[in-house]
Amino acid sequence: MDYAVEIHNLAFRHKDGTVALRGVTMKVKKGSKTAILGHNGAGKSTLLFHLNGIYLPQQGSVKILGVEVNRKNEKLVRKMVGLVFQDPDDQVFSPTVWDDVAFGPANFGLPREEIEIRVKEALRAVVMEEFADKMPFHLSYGQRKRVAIAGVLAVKPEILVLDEPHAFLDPKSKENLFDILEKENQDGRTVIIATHDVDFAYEWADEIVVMKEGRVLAQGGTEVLCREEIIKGAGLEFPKVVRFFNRIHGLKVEKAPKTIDEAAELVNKLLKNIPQRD
Amino acid sequence: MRMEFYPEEKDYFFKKTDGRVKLVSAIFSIAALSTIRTWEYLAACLGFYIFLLCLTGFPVLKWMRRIFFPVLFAGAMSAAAAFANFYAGRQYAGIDGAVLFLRALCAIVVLSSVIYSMSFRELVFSLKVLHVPDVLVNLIGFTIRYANILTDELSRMKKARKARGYSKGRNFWHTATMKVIGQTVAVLFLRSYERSERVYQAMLSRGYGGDIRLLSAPARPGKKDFAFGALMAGVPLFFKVAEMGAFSWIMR
Repeated sequence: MDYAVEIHNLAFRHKDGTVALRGVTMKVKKGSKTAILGHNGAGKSTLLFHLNGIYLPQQGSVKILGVEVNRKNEKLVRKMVGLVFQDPDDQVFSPTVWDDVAFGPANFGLPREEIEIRVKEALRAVVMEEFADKMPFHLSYGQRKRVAIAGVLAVKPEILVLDEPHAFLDPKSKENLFDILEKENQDGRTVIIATHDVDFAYEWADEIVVMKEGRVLAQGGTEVLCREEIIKGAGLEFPKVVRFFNRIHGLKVEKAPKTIDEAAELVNKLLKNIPQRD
Repeated sequence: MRMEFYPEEKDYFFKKTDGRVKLVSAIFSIAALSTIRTWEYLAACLGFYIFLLCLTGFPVLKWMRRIFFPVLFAGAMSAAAAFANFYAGRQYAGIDGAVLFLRALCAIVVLSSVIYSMSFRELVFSLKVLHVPDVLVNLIGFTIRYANILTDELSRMKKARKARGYSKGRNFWHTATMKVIGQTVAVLFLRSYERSERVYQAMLSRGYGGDIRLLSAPARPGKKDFAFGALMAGVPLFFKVAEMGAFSWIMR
């Protein structure tokens, strides 16, 4: 099996003494859509920073596409893993959208012509082409988020990592983000997100990692989010669709639906099987 | 609240002039101005700059609002220096104060008008071309870029205070108000520090290694640019030479 990310016994303590990770071991398959869930302070963001080489392992190891993350190859790792920060204002700082998207490719020493092509492609991917000459501070929060994603896509990383991508987004922007992530994954990229949004994770991801207090509580398919002991242990809540089916007494379904559409289809099917009364 | 860095006016001659030339001539002008000791010559230089700005279509009124506080500060400092000299029993303390103020005013006019007329990209490029150290260019760049975010944060904090019934005291001696202002400034500093850490991490994550790469270079400055730059720097130099008595020597 090919793995995009292999983490073994990773531990990390912040400068102020807070222990953020306590022996995390996990693997992410190449080309997968992985959601890392956990409450605030579970260590999700610290873990993501290790994937991009911003934080280097204090204990244990992190391998990206077979390359061990250390000081010698952190630049290579940053080329392989694109990290989108939670707050676009932390990431988007250039005077124009174009400049900001070009920032990454320029740092990696690409020639001007190649940068222009990549910026165009990245802005097209997030549907922000017409805003290339705008000042990022004058865009909406959702648009700035898309610029932040474009800035990472322009580097053409093999792994795309997003920290809380849904934070403060309106429903329409969430939908746009969903489409962008789907497309990137279909193009062969491994996509990893850290989120609180169990509904999104349940619907979108094919791999789930649940974290609690710097440790991995569970890892597996989306069925992880149907297990009560994990959900309660991590301080999360069941996805809405799962909650709905859990409340119907006596109903046993082979596989819980993942989306509202699937749930509606299942309910319709069950209703058809109920004998009609005159 | 948004701080506009980019002037939104139409193109005008002063704006179209090459940024590198404008910056270099501003540096020479300020160097010459700071050595002139005759208040009449300084006033003449000031008049010339204002005339030049008006002549080249510079949005003088808008720009004047922006330089209000620096001018106020320069005035206060010059007045303080004049009073100190007066009490020390020095002759012409008032004229010295006026000279100091005029020098500061001329420097503010020259530098602020040059910066006001440049886009952010042009400013960074000009500084790089002039071999200003990267650290300084980064510092200037981030100050401008994050002024918006800091003012936004400050305005959010103000709103949150208002929402909880806070209102300012009527005078400077209102201790509760002073305490709140002090706390706000402290929190703003802490937030800025934390944000700067996050910004740096975000830059590192996209391969930043400490140097700025210039992606596009503006065209070489033309004759018009050089002529304009020479005029800007030439006038204070002319007055400096006059002050040194060069013309009396010629007249002889």
